[in-house]
Amino acid sequence: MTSFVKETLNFTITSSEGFTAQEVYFSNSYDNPIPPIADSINPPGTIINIADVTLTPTPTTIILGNSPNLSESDANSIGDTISVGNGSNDTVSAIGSQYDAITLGTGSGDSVIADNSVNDGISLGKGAGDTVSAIGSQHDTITVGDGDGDVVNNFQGNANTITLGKGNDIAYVGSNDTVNVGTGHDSFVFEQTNPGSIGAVTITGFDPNKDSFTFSNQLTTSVTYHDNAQGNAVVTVDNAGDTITLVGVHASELHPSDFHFADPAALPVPSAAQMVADLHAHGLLL
Amino acid sequence: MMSNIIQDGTFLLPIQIGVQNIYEWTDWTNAGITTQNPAPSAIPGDYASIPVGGDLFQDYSALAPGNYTLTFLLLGLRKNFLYQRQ
Repeated sequence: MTSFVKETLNFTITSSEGFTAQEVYFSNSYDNPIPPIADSINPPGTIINIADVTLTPTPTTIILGNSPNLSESDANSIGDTISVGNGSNDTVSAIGSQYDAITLGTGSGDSVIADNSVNDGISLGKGAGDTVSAIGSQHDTITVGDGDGDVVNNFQGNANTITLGKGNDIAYVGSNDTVNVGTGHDSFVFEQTNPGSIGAVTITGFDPNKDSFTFSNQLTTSVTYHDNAQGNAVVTVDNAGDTITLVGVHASELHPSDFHFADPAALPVPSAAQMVADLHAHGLLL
Repeated sequence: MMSNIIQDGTFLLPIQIGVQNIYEWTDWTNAGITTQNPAPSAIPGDYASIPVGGDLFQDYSALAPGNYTLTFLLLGLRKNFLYQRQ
């Protein structure tokens, strides 16, 4: 018996083809290429054996330079690497992406739109006013560098890891997120309005003297806090299991002024609105 | 690690006959496609053996635009091509 031989087929699907690809087909009946399919039977006794079939997206790498105002759109991509240089006001849109690695260098006003992404790694370098919109995203790792006014919007996201650099930054926190706080006066906004929609959030590096929380007053108008067995403060938001664990902070260090409650309509406008405007400005949205 | 779009790439699930399934392999022509167990050394899982007249396929959700790579191990090749059903 001869050995199995590995075969590889590479192909591209574009949005302009007018049909979909949704089937892998191994045939021991047809022996002519299409079109048309001719019913030509192989010789009697022919056996075709197939093993270890894989179909995966082929990752691509996109590298942009250091000029300002660069933009790249890579929606629904899987496993792509997008690297942008050190210019200001660069924009990357990767809505619906999975397993992408998105890196922007230093420069102020850079933005990444990765709403509904999964398992992306998003990193922005130093620069003021950088923004990441990851609304509805899951299992992303989001890092913003030093600089004031950075905004990470993970509203309706789940199980993401957010790391903030030095500077006065804002994070809209999703459910079950893990947040690493930089130095500076940082604000953590919970826009969730339904009990149970925050889950178990963990924040490391929270400074009760500089940082603060804002909750939707449709979810709660008060919180309680106590130390857990590890000596970390646990903020109980409601009776539906929503908690925020502050690693390295004792409950005795917290004070009521750390917590704010507001009408969702009065909360700071999420950066996504500005980022959508940026997309329009860059011609990425019509 | 990206997941394989093919849900049963090592043929560990039974091959069904003549059904329009989306995740398992189908012997559409009922030609007697069988699963051989196990595959030879160093090949994961089982393998499918397709006699003359057999058509083996698997449906999946429509692919988003992009580049893709299909790989498989093959023994007894005559000709092959990728058929993108419209």
